[in-house]
Amino acid sequence: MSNNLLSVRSLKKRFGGLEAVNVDKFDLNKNEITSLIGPNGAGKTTFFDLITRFQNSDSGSISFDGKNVTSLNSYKLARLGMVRTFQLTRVFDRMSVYENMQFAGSSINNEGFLNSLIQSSSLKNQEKLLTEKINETLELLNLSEMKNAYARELSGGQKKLLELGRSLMKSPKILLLDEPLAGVNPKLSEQLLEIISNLNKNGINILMVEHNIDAVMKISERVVVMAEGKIISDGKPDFVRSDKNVIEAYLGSSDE
Amino acid sequence: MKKYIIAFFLLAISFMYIFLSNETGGARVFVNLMTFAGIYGLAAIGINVHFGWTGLLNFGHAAFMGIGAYTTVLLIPHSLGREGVVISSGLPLPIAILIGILAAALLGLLLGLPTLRLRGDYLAIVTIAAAEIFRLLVRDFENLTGGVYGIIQFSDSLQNSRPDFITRFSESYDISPAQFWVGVLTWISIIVILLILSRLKKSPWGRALRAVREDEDAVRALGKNAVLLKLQSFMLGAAIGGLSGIFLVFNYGTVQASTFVPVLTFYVWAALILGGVGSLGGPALGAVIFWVIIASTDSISRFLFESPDGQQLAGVRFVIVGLLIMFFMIFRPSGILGKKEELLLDVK
Ligand SMILES: Nc1ncnc2c1ncn2[C@@H]1O[C@H](COP(=O)(O)OP(=O)(O)O)[C@@H](O)[C@H]1O
Ligand SMILES: [Mg+2]
Repeated sequence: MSNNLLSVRSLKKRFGGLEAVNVDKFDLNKNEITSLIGPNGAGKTTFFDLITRFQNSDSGSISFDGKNVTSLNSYKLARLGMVRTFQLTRVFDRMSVYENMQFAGSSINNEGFLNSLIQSSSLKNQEKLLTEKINETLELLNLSEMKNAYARELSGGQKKLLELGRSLMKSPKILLLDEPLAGVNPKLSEQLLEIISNLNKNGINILMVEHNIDAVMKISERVVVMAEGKIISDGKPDFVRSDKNVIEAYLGSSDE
Repeated sequence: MKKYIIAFFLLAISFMYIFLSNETGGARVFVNLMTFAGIYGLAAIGINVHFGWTGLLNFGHAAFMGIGAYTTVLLIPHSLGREGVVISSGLPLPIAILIGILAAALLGLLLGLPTLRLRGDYLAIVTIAAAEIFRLLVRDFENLTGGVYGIIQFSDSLQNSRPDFITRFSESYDISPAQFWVGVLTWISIIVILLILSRLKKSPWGRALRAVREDEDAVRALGKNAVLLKLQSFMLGAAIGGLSGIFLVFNYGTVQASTFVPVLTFYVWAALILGGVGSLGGPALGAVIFWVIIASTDSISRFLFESPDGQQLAGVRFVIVGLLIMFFMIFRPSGILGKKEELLLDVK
């Protein structure tokens, strides 16, 4: 295996007669913001599901951080540092914003049944130490005031922020964001983009699916275009913008 | 706070009702009711761990109660019903109870391993089926279980441990000492288990279960093993169910295939819904209210039928409990003690 952070080969997934994903080769190696775009139904979410192991691929291989993870459990892959968010936001509705963050940040060891029953002083200390990181992250995302609210009470945009905040508690190597700006108002979008680009400057790789083309072109160093399961274009934003494959794909699709 | 006051008044009125409607033997009726309530409450606490904490649908609690009960009873001296085969040797009771509880947890593991990886509905179906299979196996393996004739004469192991003051107290109030002892032990168990559970609920483990209840995929995305958490929760709730089943058969003094019918599971769920899904003390409170209602439905039966037989009594009970659950689902789905904001029975 190469020393790419993420490396995907001949990844295929069919749903009945539909070829949802058929990606020959996809590598991420530099710390940059990569955007994955393409018409609705192009297979972007399914591609995310496959590389994060939320769905099994029919064939192909995935390696992450030098390890072959083709058949690893999704939660184990997340422990290795690949953390994702979802197109349809998934927050823990009936837990407070703070508890959402606590759960994300607390160690697996402390969540062991026996350790939780015994509650040693080191467990209590570690839980207390979390507080600082949680408060910092909530501050960064402008969610401090909603700390004690139930997550279900947040607006759609705030839920996206919380999901991002939760992911940050894991100190990921790579963040996969599935439409982080969908349903977020323009002002908040602006903020979110800035946060994402700061995260990247702090060494977190970003791979995101996003429909907001202006935002994508502004923030990304690399843009990958998918259509009908395949990668049809890959390069700098300017290159992709003028690639005739891309223009055709978008014009040919009834969705956009 | 308000709901605790409501709960307090409900209880006070219920108890007054019991003593007023039974001029003689009020204490006996009260102890009978509280013992059953304790047993159902304990069972409901088990389901609450499953459903209230973790979102697991267990519709076969009777199987966990049953396996706990049968395992324990078969390990201590007992007689088989029909032919009266006497088995006079056995393990000390505390060890037998411990093994009974473990057996229930193991059944939880057995049912959970293949199903907890799948969507939630599978567990519901599998638990319903498992409870029926368990009951039929118990009925058909007559050599071991006594089948429909059941097992008798196992109570001594427990009653021998009854302190004198319990016996004297019972006699002076015309209470069944054997039942009183079962009742006392049941409520002590409830208190101990609730203390342990309140510790767990606030712990990182309890928080993780709630996260699983809310969204398993998000749990996975954050690097946590949702299946393991569900399995642990399922085994813990099953173990608590097992203990309640043990108390149930010591309360009856006998056990047969018909002790663990599906309606038992239904009634335990009813107690949980009345008390409040997800709340710590709700299930036990719900069970008390449930048994007060059961006691009063019997007087309704007597009003409807001149001298109601067992079937008529059971029928009226069933209808009234059903109506009551509907009433709660519509007007107070969070139960008496549940939090509105954490409503789990979202009737959309
Ligand atoms: N579970 C599934 N079963 C059948 N078809 C699916 C399933 N998931 C996605 N698809 C189909 O696969 C294609 C790709 O979907 P998706 O990955 O969600 O696209 P995108 O995220 O790019 O909009 C779509 O045509 C969609 O209808
Ligand atoms: Mg999508």
